[in-house]
Amino acid sequence: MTQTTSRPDTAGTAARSSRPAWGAGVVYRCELAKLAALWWVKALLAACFVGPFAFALAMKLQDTEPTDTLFGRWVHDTGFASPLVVLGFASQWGLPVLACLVSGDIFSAEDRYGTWKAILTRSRTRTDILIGKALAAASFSVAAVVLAAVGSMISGVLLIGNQPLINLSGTAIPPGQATVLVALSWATALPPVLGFTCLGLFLSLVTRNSVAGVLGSTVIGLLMQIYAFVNGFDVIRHLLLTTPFDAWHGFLVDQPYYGPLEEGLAVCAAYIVAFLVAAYVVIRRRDFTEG
Amino acid sequence: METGRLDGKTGDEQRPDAAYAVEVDGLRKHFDEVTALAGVDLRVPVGRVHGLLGPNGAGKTTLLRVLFGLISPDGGTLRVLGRTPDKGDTAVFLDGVAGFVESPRFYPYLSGRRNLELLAQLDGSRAGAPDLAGVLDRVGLLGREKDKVGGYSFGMRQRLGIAAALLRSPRLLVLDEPANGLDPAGIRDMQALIRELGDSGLTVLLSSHNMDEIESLCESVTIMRTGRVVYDGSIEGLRAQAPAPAHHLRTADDGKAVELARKRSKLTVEERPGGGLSIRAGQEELDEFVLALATSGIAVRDLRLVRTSLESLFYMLTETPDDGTARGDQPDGDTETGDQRLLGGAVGAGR
Repeated sequence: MTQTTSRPDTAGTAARSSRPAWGAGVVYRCELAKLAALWWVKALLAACFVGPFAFALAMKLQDTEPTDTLFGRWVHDTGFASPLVVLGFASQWGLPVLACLVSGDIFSAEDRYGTWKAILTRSRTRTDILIGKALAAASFSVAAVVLAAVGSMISGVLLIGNQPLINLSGTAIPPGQATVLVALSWATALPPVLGFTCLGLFLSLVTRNSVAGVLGSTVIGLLMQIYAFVNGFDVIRHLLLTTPFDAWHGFLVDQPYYGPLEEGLAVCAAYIVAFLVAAYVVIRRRDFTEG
Repeated sequence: METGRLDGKTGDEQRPDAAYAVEVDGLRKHFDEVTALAGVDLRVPVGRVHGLLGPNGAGKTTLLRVLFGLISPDGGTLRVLGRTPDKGDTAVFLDGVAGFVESPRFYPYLSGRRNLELLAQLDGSRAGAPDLAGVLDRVGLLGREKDKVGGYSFGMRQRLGIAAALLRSPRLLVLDEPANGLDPAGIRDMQALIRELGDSGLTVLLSSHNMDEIESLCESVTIMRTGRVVYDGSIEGLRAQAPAPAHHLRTADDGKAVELARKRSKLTVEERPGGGLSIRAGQEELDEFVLALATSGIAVRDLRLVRTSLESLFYMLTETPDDGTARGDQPDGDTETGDQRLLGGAVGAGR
């Protein structure tokens, strides 16, 4: 090993210039590598893809349909109904939980393992670490949603068939257009999923506890869902992070409407910004006396 | 070489042209009601192995955490390799600095090698292509590098911590109790490695509560107690100010032995509650006393060194109550400097 005994430089500019341009990218790659090494992360992603197959198979094998769910009555008639039913079910609690499983643990894992000092004493800033971890958690959430969408679409078409989809107005939609609409419907779940991801990040950072990070976010999601069911203030209902999960309903009518989607995007963006800014303030100010 | 001072002030005036890897002035840190650092001054000269010594709760770990940018001080100034910290951007501040505070920790589900790869990746292009095999070999982990860290012993994690630090090719290496958890052979190897690093010109700040370790490895030392510096200077200077070593003595007639001892001005003696005597004397005085006992027909049944000179001074500096009153069998301030450095005003234990 080469050691130097030169006098310390006083500016630190050399160090600054020798650092990669985007330190958060380095942290992001490290976080992805860490996630890829965890069996439960791989198992969750696999479940996101395989789970819809089990659902479609169960629907195929049973005589009754989940008629109380949007598109439930069509699950035996078209494979495009299956991914929409899965989306409807998952939006209730599955996607919020899924979004928080990694994000609610990604900061507190460093507390649990005592590895904060290992990463904070390398050549990355706290901001780099926040952005890198947030991107990694968001990547997991997006991957989970995409895998669930693809899995439900493929399983529906393979097990039920690619018959035209009957939309909420009762009009038959040809398979090509149905594929696009189903994909767009799943895509509308991404903003609230990312909102919950950022909520999980924030709770994970603040509580320093993975259980609180995951369960706290889940409980908040459930409370929001419950509020949506009760006869509360409509303004508050519009401001809930769970409300945008229903924005896809506007796509599947003869006269599509995009107001809920636009409103949902704004609400989700506000949650995402608020949680990330709060997390930024916390990580910048935090004294790492342990871990 | 400077002689060091027992008043906790650094000897800047004695090293006017020295360059320091670490410069700390008046550093303060409180945790609620607890004062962890109560105005710490510290200088670590470039190219020197410097010890940071103190009992548990002295504030060493808090000081090191501040040094690594993990916590922010409430007051005072800090320069590491000429740079001042910018909270949240320790990456620049810590360029050229490596080491660990408390025991190094890693991801248990990854192998030792994979942990090092990720840490090297976090360092980016700065460190270039790291010589993982060379570093692992140097700390004695080659052959075990593919095992998951979760299966590593405490000592192996200490070694991996050193390896992670060396990957950065640092100019300042900060080690907090590096010999913790190591077996005797591991301690020997670790000390040899620190000596080798020191000989190569690397600046090393070695924190320990083990006086022997500091004495054998360091050229200079800062001793802390309850958040304050009570000595800063060379080991030689410390040695010069140390009281006589303490021995436990058992004789055939302790009463007569005490009478004989009290006739000698350079020797202090106390009867121990459980029997026997506690003797504090230099080696020559002790030799003369033992010979005198024999001449007087008093058989020596047991004579054991219980505390070296430096240990005695360390305990005196770090354990004597703040009011200057000695307790137990600690030295009772029999050196003038010892009384001079005792600080009034209790402060809480550091973390």
